[in-house]
Amino acid sequence: MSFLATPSYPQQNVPGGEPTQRHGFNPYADNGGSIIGIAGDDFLIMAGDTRHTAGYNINSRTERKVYRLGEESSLVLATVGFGADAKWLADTMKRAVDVCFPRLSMMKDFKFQHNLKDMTVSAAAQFLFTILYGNRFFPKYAYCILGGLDKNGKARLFSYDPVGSYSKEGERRAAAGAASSLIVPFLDNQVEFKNQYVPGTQGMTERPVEYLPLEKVEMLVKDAFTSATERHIEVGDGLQMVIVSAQHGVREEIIELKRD
Amino acid sequence: MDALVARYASPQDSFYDDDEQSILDTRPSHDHAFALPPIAQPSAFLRAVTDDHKNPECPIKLAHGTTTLAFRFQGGIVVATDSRATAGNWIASQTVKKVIEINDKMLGTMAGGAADCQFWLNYLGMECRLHELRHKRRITVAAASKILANIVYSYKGMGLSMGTMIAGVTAQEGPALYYVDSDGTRLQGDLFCVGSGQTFAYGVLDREYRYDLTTEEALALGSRSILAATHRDAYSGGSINLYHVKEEGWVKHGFTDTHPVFWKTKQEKGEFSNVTVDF
Amino acid sequence: MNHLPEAWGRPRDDIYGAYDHQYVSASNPNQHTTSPVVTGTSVVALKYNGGVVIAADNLASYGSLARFTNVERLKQVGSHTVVGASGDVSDMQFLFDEQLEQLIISEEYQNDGHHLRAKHIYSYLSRVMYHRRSKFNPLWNVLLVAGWDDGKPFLASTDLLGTTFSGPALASGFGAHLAIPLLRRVCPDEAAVANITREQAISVIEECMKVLFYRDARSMNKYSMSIISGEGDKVEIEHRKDIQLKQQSWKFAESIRGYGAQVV
Repeated sequence: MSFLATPSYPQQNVPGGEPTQRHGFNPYADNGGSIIGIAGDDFLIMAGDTRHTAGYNINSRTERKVYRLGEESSLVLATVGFGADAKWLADTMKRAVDVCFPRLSMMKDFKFQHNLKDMTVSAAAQFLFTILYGNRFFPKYAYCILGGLDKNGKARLFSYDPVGSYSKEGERRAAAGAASSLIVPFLDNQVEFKNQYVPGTQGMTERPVEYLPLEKVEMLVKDAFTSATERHIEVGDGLQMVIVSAQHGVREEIIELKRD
Repeated sequence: MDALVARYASPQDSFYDDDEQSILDTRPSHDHAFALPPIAQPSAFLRAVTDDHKNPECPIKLAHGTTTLAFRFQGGIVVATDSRATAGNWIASQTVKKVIEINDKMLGTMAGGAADCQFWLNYLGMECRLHELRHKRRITVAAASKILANIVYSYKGMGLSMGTMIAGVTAQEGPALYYVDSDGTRLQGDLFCVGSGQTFAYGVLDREYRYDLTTEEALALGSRSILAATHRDAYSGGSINLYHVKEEGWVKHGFTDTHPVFWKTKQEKGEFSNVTVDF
Repeated sequence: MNHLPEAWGRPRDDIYGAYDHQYVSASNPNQHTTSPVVTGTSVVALKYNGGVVIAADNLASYGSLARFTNVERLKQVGSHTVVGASGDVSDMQFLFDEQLEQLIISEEYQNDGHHLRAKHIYSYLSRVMYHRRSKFNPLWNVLLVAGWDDGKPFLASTDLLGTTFSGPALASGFGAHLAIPLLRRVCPDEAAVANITREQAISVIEECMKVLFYRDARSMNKYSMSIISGEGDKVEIEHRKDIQLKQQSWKFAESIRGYGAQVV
């Protein structure tokens, strides 16, 4: 088992090797923005705002954070944090899921290695974990939410920390990014019905959790982002929503948010 | 002149270039080629960007904070954990499954870096299965925990963070419990508590622990110890995740929200009398 | 690993040494290997209804010294694209004269009738920038890529970290603070591009260069401008060099203490 060997540290100025670099260079930036994902029974919505920031500057008002991983696939990845790392992750996942250049990436391609079958959501989820953990010692500064439909048409949703930890059971809702601390408590209450009780039970019986209809989820997503836009400087401009439905396929919608 | 020719010459004549050929040649390997920052002290860099205790402003906050416990008794092993994950003061999740099912006979617990525990215990599961296939019998808990300890020891100083307990019951060993952490420490023992809330759990556990506890008593004690830790340690909370490991395999005993358990314990047993309801 | 409850799971100082804030500070002025030496200031660019206008002045500064006053910071790459660079001039020259030159030679060698368009050049540049940041050896630049792509104007930015974004009006360096508001006034979003004519775009960019010269101490009054105009598949690129700032008015300076002649 080769990994049992002591890991090799790059030494400073190995003869013939590449010279190691001095530090004092911060390879990370925070490009702001937020993403959320909510799963229904047979649909899910992945959404992100389209503002891209650097400090107090707004770089762009039209940068997307939610990526479809293949034209034929229901898989959707939303990433937020350091824009370049986030984009690298999205590109890496796309390359794994989709057939882009059959000849060039023949052996890299999951589809070709697996008898032209599409990657399942749970496989993609584990794959993303492996990618993120592969960068454990030089982490990708990006929070990911991955969603898609399983082979029975049920929605699955996974959320990750920057080095890959995720729950295999999946979740009903997830939020990440600059305004996650504003959005998560809202979703806890509105999707998980946290601290909601059945009327007339004197707060003794919790309101049972149930799947929400698409229209309701769409409203929650919009409310989450309009509210986050009001209270967070790095959120705003536009709301990109990708709606994946077992019945109606995948559709994308872009809605204006406040631009102040 | 040669330089000029080289510059304008066709770069590749073969059908596949070197990179593509190397992909075609690749076989699945168990070699973990982790990306490293190309600097003199990768671990110092990693620490600088992830240590939320020394620098609350650090850019990458990893999930941390835990109370986990496991103890041996005559009926097997009880494993109990809380379910809270924190990143700085932010509660990242209240529903983390900190008991990792390595296979249907063995459990691991998760404290420290969530991804570290998940990845290496998942990897350990694979190694245990390979052991079964190679040797036609189940791996002992001693051997399994040693595989894990050897792996993390080989990464010592690189910045892994995990404190885990491996629990299993085998014919050779009976109920066996090992503690393994990212320093490479591996200890066999009857009783361990691991994580930021460990001291609180030890307090309750040590008071009531006996090897000849009945199964009901043991499960109740595990649950009560986690409850005490979630009450006193701000970085622990959420739900109580309870397991019982027996020779036939492990059995799950619920994932219970601490809130109603706390009030039930207070009202029915008169414990937590320090907590008053009138403000 | 620290076992004390308040720092459980974190690294211990006696094992890992003291926490080193250096890695997370934005930059360290004493380390020359990773900081720019001779620098160029802002690049500004704006889309209009038939293409893109991009401009950068001709100054290369050495700290506060205006060292070279005839440096070209715009480069045409292939037939569809102009790249503008701010930041370290030697890194810019490496990109322009070594990397991009070789990229085009390799591409044209095929002679298959295909040419690299703006988004290809941009994709290449952003990957180079990200690759170098991942090696902790960044190319200390902000690059604006302007061009004509697929019948539409193209404008996008990448920087020393490999961060990528696009927009109808972009500016690097000081321009991000001073020029962006002027550009966004005429072009608040992508839809507004359709109403901006070539002449309008040129005059807004000229205005931006002037305002930048007023307030950016690392700028000069001579600049280059490239106008990429396209129609369908046809692209035309016009380079204007050695443009002098016109109609400067320093009247505003009189009322500002420390700027003009002060009476009291």
